[in-house]
Amino acid sequence: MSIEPLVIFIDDDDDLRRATAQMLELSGFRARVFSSAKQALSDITGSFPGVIATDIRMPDMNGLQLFGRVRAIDPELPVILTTGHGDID
Amino acid sequence: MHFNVRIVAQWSRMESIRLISARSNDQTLRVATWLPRGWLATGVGGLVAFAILVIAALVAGRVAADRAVDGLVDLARAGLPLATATLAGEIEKQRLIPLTLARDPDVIALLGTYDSNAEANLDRKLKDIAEDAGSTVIYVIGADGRTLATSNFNEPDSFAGVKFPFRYYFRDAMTYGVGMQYAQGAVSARPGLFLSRRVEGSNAPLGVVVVKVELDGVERTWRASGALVSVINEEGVVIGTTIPDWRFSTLSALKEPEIGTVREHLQVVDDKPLATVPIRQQGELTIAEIDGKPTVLVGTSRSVGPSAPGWRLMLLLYADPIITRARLDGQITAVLAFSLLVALGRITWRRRQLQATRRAALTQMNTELEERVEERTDQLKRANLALAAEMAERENAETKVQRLRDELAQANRLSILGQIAAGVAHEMNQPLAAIGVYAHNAKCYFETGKSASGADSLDQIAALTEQIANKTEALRSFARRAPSAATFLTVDDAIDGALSLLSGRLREAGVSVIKPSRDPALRVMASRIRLEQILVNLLQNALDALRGRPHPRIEVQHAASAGNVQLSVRDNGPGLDPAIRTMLFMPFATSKENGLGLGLVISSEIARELGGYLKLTPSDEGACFTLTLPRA
Repeated sequence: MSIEPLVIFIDDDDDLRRATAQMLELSGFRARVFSSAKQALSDITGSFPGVIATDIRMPDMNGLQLFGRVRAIDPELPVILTTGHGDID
Repeated sequence: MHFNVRIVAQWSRMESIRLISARSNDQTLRVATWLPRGWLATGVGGLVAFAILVIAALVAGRVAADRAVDGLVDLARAGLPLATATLAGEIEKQRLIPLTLARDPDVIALLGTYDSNAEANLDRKLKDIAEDAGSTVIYVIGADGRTLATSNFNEPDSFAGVKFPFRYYFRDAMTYGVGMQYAQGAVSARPGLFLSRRVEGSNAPLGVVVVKVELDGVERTWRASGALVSVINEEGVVIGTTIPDWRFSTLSALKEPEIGTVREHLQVVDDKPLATVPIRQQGELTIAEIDGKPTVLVGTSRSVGPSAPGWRLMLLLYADPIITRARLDGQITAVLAFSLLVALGRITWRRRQLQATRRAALTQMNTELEERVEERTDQLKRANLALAAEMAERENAETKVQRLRDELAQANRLSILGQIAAGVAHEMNQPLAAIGVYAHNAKCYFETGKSASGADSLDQIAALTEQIANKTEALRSFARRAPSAATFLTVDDAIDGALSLLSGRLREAGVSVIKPSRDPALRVMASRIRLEQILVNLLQNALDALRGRPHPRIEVQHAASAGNVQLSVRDNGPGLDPAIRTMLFMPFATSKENGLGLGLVISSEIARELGGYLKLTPSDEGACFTLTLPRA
């Protein structure tokens, strides 16, 4: 049995976070979910073997800030930014 | 005084006629039309009054004089018996003297013997008797007519030896036994009444005893009574009188043969013609000439009686002063009565006029009062109407203000909705995204036979759907024009509601919201929407103040005092410019570029409507607004 791919998911909305975690597991991913960017950062190292998915709009540290920090740790790490705001300002 | 009463009665009648004529106003007006006005009227009126007065006085005087004459006649009639008795008494008294002496032995003896001693004795006796009885002379005449004894034997004009055979009193006594004659004295020439009596002898009459009375005592008595008394004999000749000039005058002028007879009977010694008493009758009055002056007398007469048959006694009273005084009295009474009546008339007239004036004044006052009351009532009515109109207008205005206020609050809420619209969209997207994911998951679970997990996902979807429904309902009710009625409202619910409405913006702005610990005991009486609107406004202001600030934070707190609940919203923004603080609750005062400046104004209005107030609370950092409401 191959090693299941790992996804870190960050969203401050509890419902969406739980639903997305459920969905990721159903789709065959291992999911680690966080409600804030700061919590997630403590789990991300340079040797992280997965994908990071984060909501953009969040208090304290938003998705884009997290993206900056992640790139500083490892520019190769894949980061997926999601948002409920469909249009682009 | 009977006549006075009569006059008064007469004048009362006249006065009452005048008063009756004056009673009717029409009559007065009619009189006034033909009477000249002013002084002329007064003059004519005065003349008429004076004429009436003069006539009244004359009539009254006349009537009073008539009454006085009647009174005098009565008085004279009353005085007549006394005057007559005086005369008759004297005559009767003197008549006894010859009657007694005719039987006197001394007299008989003298007439029989002609003794000179006896004569001297008798003279003295007669003198004594004459002095006692008040007789003028008593004397005894022999059958031949010669005087044998006399009481005036020692006087100059003594009758002694004088012969009186021609005297009627001698002849009558010799012939009939008695004689009575008023005549002038043959010796003294003084008039007097002679009363004689025959002295009987055994064969033939011896002589006559005579007494002469001059009646001056009687006349004196009459004079003392103040009346004019005369005694007139059967031939109409005045013999005794209180007026000496009238003696031997006749009441009516006599013709020649009668005059002779009269003179003969009187046996007057002088040749004076018989005068007529200067007297004439004028109605009840007797006008006599006394001392050359016409004098008014009132009187009556009667016969003297048996003591002097044929004689009449006339008693007259001096009427002039009494009549004059009575007339004057009457006139004065009339004048007084007239004056009194005129005064009474004037007083009555004046009083009536005064009453009429007063009545007229009263009527006028009444009318004026009524008019005034009516006027005042009208004014009050108008004032009432005006007031009612004003009240209606004010009510209208208040309604307008209320409506305006409601509309402003509504506009404020819609503005809030507009501002939170973007946030709301995000709010919706989150649960919608979650629903989408759960739906996908549920499908997978059911495909793989994990129906329990699929059902769980569906439950999640249901919960999220309800969450969205709640949110839209909150928005819809917030946008509703008419706010819900006031209810008991937990302050925490209102805070949750307000934060929920703004959750999108708050999240987007990354603002930390600190909520108070829940206290269900803190309740107010308010419409939920109203209270939420205030909180949303305060939260929005805080959000605006926090834009671009680091670590933005909003703290909502609540506190309770005795009767109130305090709700405060504090931010850590830049705080308020002191310049803007005083203008915070003024309409259109705003520190925001796109602000209308109505949020705080409307919130303050709502707070007041809920019975509380909203104010800025001093704060170390940022701004803090506190809402105070009565605790429910």
